[in-house]
Amino acid sequence: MTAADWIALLLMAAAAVFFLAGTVGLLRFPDVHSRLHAITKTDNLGLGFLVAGLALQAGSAAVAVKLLVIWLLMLLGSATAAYLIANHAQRENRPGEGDSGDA
Amino acid sequence: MPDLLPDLLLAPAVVWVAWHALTGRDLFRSVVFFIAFGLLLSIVWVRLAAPDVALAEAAIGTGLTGALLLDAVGQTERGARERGRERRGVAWPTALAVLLLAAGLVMAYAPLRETSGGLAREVAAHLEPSGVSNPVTAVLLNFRAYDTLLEVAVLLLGVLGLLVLHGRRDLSRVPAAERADPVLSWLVRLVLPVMLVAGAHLLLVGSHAPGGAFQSAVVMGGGAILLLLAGGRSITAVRGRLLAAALLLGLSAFLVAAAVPLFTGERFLQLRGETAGRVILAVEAALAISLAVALAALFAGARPRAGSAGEDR
Repeated sequence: MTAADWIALLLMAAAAVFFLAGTVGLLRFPDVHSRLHAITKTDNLGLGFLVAGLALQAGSAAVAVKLLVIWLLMLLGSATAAYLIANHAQRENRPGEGDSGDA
Repeated sequence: MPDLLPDLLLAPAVVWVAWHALTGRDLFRSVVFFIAFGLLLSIVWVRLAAPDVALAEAAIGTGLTGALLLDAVGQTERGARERGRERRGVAWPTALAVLLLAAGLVMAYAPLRETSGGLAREVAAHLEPSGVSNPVTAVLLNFRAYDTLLEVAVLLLGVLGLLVLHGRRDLSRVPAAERADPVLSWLVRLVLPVMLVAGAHLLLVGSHAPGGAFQSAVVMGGGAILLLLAGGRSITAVRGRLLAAALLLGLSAFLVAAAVPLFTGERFLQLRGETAGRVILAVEAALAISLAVALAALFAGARPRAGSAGEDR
């Protein structure tokens, strides 16, 4: 494995850590807003690390640029979705829901 | 063994998610699990080396079907969330029948794997004169074009049935979203051109790489649905005769392409020769437009009428 492979591996491991942290937050935080906060930020950043790792492994620059575009679109989409969900929850007036639910 | 590791993680996850989709506490929960199931299934298709199907599954299973189901859940009374569903026992006869069917399929499939590699070799042998270099597109639009032709007709019948069920002549009375959220409008303005370009790209690239008419149609139809949700007119501006024309465009183009060989001495739907590639591309383009309109109409047609008691989503 070359140096680039090791760096890519580290980046993807970091992505896995972020995704795991986000999912733990999703499962354990008490209400909608804090759960949104956890999942949006960590998933965006985790995907960024994943894309960086994959871009290093990509065969050509075109593929790397496509991966970057995927990440940017995901940023836009998840930010908008988080805003819409939070807005909806706010309008429905459910501040401290308290149900962490079962799986 | 390391090769199988993703599969060993994926298979139980798919079953687990499907179980929760079927036995969820309330409808909304089930729908969310169903969307996750669609996503995992598209990864399964990738593992089975079928990227075209994975593209279609990801777009339709998670995007379009998810939107349709969420819309349906939202239109039931709010009580759907609190009421939950009655807990019934496992339906043992059905479970037994399903298990027997699965066992039968496995027993039928297992000996086939050793004896043949499927039809891959035959398809590869005849790929050159088919006009395209993507074997999936060659099968869909040349070797098995009958099936695709009839599938398109079935989809159109589905849309027609939906419109009839809801008593609509066209989609002009579907309301745009009541409160056009400014953030969503901004996103749609930014992302819709990207979706149209992606749809065109998927269409053009389908002749030599994973892609094709159906995948392109789902992306563009999704864009139309997004525009509808953001308060734009989109599919509802396609009125009356224009809607019928748009829906029939794909099927008609396909039928024309199928009938022309009859006049040049060949058989119905026989695409061969140098023109095959161009004919396939033209038919795919017409199909993509038609199917995009059809998919958007499926979503819009199920929305409540303007002024009726429906949730604003």
